[in-house]
Amino acid sequence: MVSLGCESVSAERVADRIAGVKEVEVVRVLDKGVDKAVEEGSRIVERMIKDSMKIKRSGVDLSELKLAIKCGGSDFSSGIISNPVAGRVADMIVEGGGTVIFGETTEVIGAEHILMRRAVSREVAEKLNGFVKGMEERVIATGVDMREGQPTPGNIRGGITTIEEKSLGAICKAGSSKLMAAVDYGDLVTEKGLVFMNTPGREPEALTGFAAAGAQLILFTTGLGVPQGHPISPVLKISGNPETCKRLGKHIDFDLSPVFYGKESIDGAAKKLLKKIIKVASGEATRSELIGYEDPVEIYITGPII
Amino acid sequence: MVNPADNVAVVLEEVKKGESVLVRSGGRELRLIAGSDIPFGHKIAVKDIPKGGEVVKYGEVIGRALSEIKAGDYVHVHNVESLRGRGDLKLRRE
Repeated sequence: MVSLGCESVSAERVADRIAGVKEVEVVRVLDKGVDKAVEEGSRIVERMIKDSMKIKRSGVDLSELKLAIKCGGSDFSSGIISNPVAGRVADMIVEGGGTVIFGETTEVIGAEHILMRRAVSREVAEKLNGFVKGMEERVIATGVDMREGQPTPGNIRGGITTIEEKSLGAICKAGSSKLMAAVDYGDLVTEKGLVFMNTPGREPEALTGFAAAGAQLILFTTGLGVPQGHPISPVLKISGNPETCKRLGKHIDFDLSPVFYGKESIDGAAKKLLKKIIKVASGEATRSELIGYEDPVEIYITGPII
Repeated sequence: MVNPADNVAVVLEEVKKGESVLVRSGGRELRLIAGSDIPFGHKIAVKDIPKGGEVVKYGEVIGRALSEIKAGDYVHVHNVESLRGRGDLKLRRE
């Protein structure tokens, strides 16, 4: 942990909590200055990398997998190809006893009634509805027309007209299984099956929330081909827009063009994608790791910054 | 078309004004003449939609028509408005 040394969040308190689970070291910039902090931190990291290489891999059941699913840089292909494929993968993982986490509360607006119908209990349905209403009310309270931010200019260029259309396409990524729980941003997810987390749509905050939930891997559908990664949970990107896969192939881990051209079914592509996910969960590097695009990382701030 | 109840379809190729567009939905086929240029991946109306009428995709309402839309017209932000997150509407009412 790199701490400035005088901030409001106590690095020591956070480090104490981490120490209960894994090794942690704290480097304080105000102790000896930035350059000494970088030197000390580099030494610590080098040693930790050497130690981590001694860890041996062992086989683990699919039910141990916690996969988060996000959509970003959505266009017309997200709702009709990549999200439905992700949704089939979600169903397969849930059937295998694993956990699938999705979020992006803003992009449920217009589609919440569909998710609520699939909730395992009235309580879960109402919790989800509360998150969605809360998000929409916050926007309305500022007097802002949400069309100024959602859908984004990129979404609009890519053919998505309204937030309702975006949401209806977005929820396809959650597949068809029952919604087992609705949790708040950053909560650790312990339930099996499909779980919703209250997150914004914005990547740096959303991906961090999923990492905090315990997702070991994040499946990321993109129409426009965004390069996003995350330093804690590797991000596996898929796209159903053949022009994007051609032009920005270096950002994309799994190309769904065959589905676009009618050469592969959604189910067939999902089975192949699940095999790829298992490879990545077993150590294969993702495109975002290879191109080194894993910034920025943000925590969702809902209050005023003072 | 994503759902047979929809009144819009997604064009899978760039379309020029006046071109004939074949829309498939389940077993049905429909021919439309494009009312204007439509970019790759954007939407074309498969039925007439009156001003203020609901635009339907995925079998659900995705917005409201700002002006009259004829079958074959380009459907997007210029003639469709969202009905959610409209803080501007709340201000206008007060």
